[in-house]
Amino acid sequence: MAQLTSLTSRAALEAEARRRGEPDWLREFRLRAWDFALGLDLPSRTDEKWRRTDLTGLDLGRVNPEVPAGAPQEVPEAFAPMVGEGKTLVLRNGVAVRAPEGLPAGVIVTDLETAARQYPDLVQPYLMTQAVRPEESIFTALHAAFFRGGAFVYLPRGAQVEEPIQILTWADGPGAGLLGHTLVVAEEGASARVVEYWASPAMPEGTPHLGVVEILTGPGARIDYSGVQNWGPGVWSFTTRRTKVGRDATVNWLLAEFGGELVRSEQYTALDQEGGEGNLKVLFFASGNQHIDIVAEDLHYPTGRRTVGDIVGRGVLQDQSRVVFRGKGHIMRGAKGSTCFLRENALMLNRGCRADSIPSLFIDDDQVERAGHAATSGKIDEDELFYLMSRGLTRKQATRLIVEGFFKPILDTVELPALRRELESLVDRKLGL
Amino acid sequence: MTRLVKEHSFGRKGDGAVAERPVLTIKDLRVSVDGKPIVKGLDLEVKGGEIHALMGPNGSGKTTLSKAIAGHPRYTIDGGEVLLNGVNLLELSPDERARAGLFLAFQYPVEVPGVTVANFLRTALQAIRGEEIGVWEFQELLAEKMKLLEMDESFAGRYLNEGFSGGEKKRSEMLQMALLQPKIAILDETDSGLDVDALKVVGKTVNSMRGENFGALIITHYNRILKHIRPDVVHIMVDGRIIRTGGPELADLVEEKGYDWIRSQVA
Ligand SMILES: Nc1ncnc2c1ncn2[C@@H]1O[C@H](COP(=O)(O)OP(=O)(O)OP(=O)(O)O)[C@@H](O)[C@H]1O
Ligand SMILES: [Mg+2]
Repeated sequence: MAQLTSLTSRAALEAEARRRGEPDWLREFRLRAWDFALGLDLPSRTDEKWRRTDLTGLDLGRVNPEVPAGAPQEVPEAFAPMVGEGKTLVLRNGVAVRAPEGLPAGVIVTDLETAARQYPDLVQPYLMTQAVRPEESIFTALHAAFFRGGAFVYLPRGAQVEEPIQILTWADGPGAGLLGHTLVVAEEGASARVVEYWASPAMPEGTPHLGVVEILTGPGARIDYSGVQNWGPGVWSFTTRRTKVGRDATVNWLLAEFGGELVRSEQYTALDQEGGEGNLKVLFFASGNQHIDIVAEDLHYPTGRRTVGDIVGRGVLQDQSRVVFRGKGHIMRGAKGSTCFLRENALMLNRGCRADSIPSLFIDDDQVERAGHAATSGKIDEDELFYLMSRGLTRKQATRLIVEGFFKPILDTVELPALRRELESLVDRKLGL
Repeated sequence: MTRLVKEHSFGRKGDGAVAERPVLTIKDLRVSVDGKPIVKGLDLEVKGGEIHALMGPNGSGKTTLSKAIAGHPRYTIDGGEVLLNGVNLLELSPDERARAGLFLAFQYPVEVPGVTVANFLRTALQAIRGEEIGVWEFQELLAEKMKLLEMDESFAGRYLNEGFSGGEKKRSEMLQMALLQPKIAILDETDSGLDVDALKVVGKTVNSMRGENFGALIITHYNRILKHIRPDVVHIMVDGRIIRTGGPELADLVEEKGYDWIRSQVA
């Protein structure tokens, strides 16, 4: 396991956990994950799921759980437009620099390290036990060993949070800010909207980010989750997100992959309870030399009767960027009466970029309600551009309108004004406006 | 080049100087598509205050001519000149041509999903005028023009041409023209597929713009539009060239006797 040699030793990991006063169970959990990681290799391109992403040059020895020395403690400037709204937790380099106030009784929104100490009974049963597991990959294993800061959102039975819960994560440089873990637990009948935003300035090329997001919903719960990834150039981002949808529960999630240099982003909707519904939308905008590799899967397990899964992938490419979008729906034998749809659209703004759309649908049950998939990717339409330009718009203005129009059906589903504005502004910044 | 255009064409802005009377001059224009010559040496001059009609059989090159004038990249200019008040349009990008005062009403307007008519038109008007236009000022202007075009207000919020009927698309082209106030407009079969009422509206719109500062080239197969918009000159185009030019009576002749007859007269 050559890649890990420059990482801290087992003894150092243990000592660090003790120094931070982490509970025994968490320290043991980290050490188990560490031992496990040592036995794993980086994914190889002979593995079909990794065939299109070249990890040459990835040095996981650069995973660094430390808070950069002298890091500022205030809310970063970049979050100013969003910080005033909702119930907001701001994490800077893994340290909570602003905590939400006035939450309804029993609702917890805090950084995960604190939560593990204060609410072990609520954290331990869920942390990487039901949704994402340390053993899934070398990335999740190392994440489990090293995660820092992070966010814990807990909604007790029946809790309804009207205002959006916002988790804004900033990393000033390599270190703890790139190791956040998000754990959302909604008990029976609870509901909330959660907005997560990750951002940083440019980092040295190949700076690893290891992220995990887990969303667990009890019966009839509803979570609307939006996650925006806008790491600076240079970051190699590896994220695994999974939601486990409870009986008759609904998870609507929208992810936006905009930043980073090399991005591997995996999301799974696990539907193993009757009547669960998961709607996933993934937006992306790749530019420069970005390589964005997206996996999006709906898994209708045998016990997931009458489950609904929907995946929409939609994004733009420009410059020399490359995007791989691997959407998958799987209705397993027993998941009767289920519905599964996949749609992917990529729009290329110039020659030289490349989008690979790889949709697949597996249906093992013979009583499927409805299922289907569609994928398109193509260059921006010259006739549309010409039409708009013939009315006086510059090529840039025309491109902007077409791109906005392309994203509009998805952005129209974003209810929170600050988030929508931020997404629109991210698109404009990508277009150089 | 861009600087030149500004001097020549933005006369309506600023110092209140009297706008120069527009002149579109086409000299010996030759255009090919995918290596195939389509327009084969065409001369034409349209001045402010004039309405010209261009008629010709299917495939004679009328749309090719208009797209080439507007600057569509697929059409290759093999020779000749297109000047707007002395400025060589062929050296300009399509948007610069529009800002110089040219407008093309498309035979087949393009659908642009997700872009509302209002948002698009405000962006276009700002681009043409070269200045910011307030939301309220714009909405008033748009409402006024939509009334002229007898369009329902809901059109402003619809996506540009998406799901529009054939006639609605043509009306939307006329709305754009009325709003952008070009110096020279080319209407490529704007009358095709219109019902009688819509035809009247198109006629009314063009007539409302008539005057020294506006000239139009109306491409059509039918005499009926010319009953609403009386042309000063009628040209007949066959196989990439204008084979005959005359007054409005020429359109009547085409309708009565067909192009073969005209060809035989010229030969
Ligand atoms: N993009 C293109 N690719 C190939 N051929 C083309 C293209 N555009 C035009 N042509 C050809 O050029 C010729 C002239 O076409 P054009 O559309 O200019 O005719 P038109 O006079 O406008 O006809 P209509 O009255 O039917 O509108 C036709 O033979 C047409 O097939
Ligand atoms: Mg035509």
